[in-house]
Amino acid sequence: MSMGSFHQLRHKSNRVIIYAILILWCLIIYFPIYWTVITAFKLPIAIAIDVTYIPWVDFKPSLHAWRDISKQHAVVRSFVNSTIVAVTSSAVAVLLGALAGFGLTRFQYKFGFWRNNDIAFWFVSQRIMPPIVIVLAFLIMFRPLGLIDTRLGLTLAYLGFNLTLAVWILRDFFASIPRELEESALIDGASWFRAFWSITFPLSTPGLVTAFILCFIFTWNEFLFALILTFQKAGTVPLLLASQVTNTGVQWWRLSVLALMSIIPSIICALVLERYIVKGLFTGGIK
Amino acid sequence: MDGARPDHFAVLTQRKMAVIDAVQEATSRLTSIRGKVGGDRFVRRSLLLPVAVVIALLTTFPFLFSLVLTFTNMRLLASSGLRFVGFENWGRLFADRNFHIVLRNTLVFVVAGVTLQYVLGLGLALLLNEDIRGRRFFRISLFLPMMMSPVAVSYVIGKMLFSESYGPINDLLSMLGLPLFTWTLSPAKSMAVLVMVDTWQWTPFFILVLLAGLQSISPELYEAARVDGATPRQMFLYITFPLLMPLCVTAILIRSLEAFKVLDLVRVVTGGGPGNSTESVTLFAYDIGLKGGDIAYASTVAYALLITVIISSVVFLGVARRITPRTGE
Repeated sequence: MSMGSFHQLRHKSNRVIIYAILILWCLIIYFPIYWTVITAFKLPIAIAIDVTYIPWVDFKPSLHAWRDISKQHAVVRSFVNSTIVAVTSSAVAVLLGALAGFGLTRFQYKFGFWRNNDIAFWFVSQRIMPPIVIVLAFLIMFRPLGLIDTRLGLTLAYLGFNLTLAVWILRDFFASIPRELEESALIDGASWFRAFWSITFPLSTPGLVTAFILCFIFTWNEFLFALILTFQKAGTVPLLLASQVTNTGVQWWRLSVLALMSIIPSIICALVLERYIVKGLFTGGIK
Repeated sequence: MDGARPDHFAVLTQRKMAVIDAVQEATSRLTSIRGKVGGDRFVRRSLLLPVAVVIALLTTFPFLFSLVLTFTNMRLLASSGLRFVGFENWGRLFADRNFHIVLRNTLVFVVAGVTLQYVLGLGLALLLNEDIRGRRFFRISLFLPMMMSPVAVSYVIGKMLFSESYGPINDLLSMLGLPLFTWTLSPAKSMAVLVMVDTWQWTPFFILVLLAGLQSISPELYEAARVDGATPRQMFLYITFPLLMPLCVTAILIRSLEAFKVLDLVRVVTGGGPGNSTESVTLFAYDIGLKGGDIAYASTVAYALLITVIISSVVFLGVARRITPRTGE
């Protein structure tokens, strides 16, 4: 059971130090989140007067900021935009990425002097590129097509980036599923499609979920594309948050509500991903 | 009891024969299936086609299009009089003092941030690799910062916690009788705040990747070393570190590639200030392209960033390859 690398650390006093450091780290992680939660329930006046830490003791919690936010149309619109754009571009990316990942691990391709690894490198290498390089080109290309400040345009812009991520993850994942499993289904007389659908597909659910969540989170949090390709109509949540920071100065109560709402999907994704990522993603690629 | 034995044996033999038959039949069918599937070019190609088309249209084409833009005088608004200007934008870039400043800022941000995250991440991964209680809780706690929107993180930590007059950090410092942390007017301290926010968000990335690496090192190696009387320090230096090194190199590379792209953090926390002392290359390109309307020069700046990223990666990988200790596994 014990994976300890130093027997020094086995001593009790050292264990105390380990826990102390880990708990300190957790405090560093959770304090900003705690601070956002309590600020979201403070009244504007309470923030201006004094720095307070504990609800009901230091200050009286209020729903003021939440009521304020719920009246804004821009907030609802941003969340709807973010959800539609992130779900669509991630779902399409995972679907297409799965096909390519499956193909690249099951068959030998040859296009001219390009083999499987060259094709995979072409797909994945696009991630090295700083997004500012292509987003300026998008701005010029999208204008005559009427795609600026539309959800479709933003979805397309994210699709390319998400695809490279999806192919990267899913190719590794399909490589870890033995092809003998499909072959045994083929032997039993299953069609080629059936073999994929009832054997490989269910086995790859953790990989598909991981790829979808990582794409979703990337799109949900992304700022630069949204900043350049949208103005008002198709603006997403990070854009809303950033514009409130720069425009309104220190309206912390409202910003904290928005920040909390924007990280709720992240928390859900972290909880789901924790199950899968431990099993496959990193350990599989490393050994 | 005795009478049952031969029967039992016979059944077993029969089953074994049946299995052998099945395997033989399967092998022959398998060969034909492999031939058939391998030969179905249309199915094979249609698996790759959608991704190839989308990536070609949505990343490779815009990538080349921007390169072309760097040799033109493309502007955001006036579309008339578009022409090729050769290397004019590139010449302007090399002479641009502001570009040198933002490039240096970005390099400082990447090197300082990634180094700090790596050191902290390695240390915490070593601790988490010990046999401790509540591992799942700690692991979820690690995931959280990475999943959050950088804009939200920048706002919460950079703006609220580090706020000079209303933030809890200065409040706690004053309670302890320590000098206040005033940073908005100091270039170095502003950069330090950016690095701290980035470190809060991305140290977990190193912890996760390195922890996975540590857990894949076989415990027998440590047992053997212990039998040979190795000290914990020797075990770290001669087993853990060399085996973890390739993974460290990959993790540092991936994280640096991301850090080079920084925009949201800078824009929200410092706005590039004071002056342009914390402005990043991406923010610089954004301002030129969107506020100044000079798309051609903005593309040139963006390409210069890409070239910097590639050169830095090549240099880093070269150095890493040279200093990686060889293991006699």
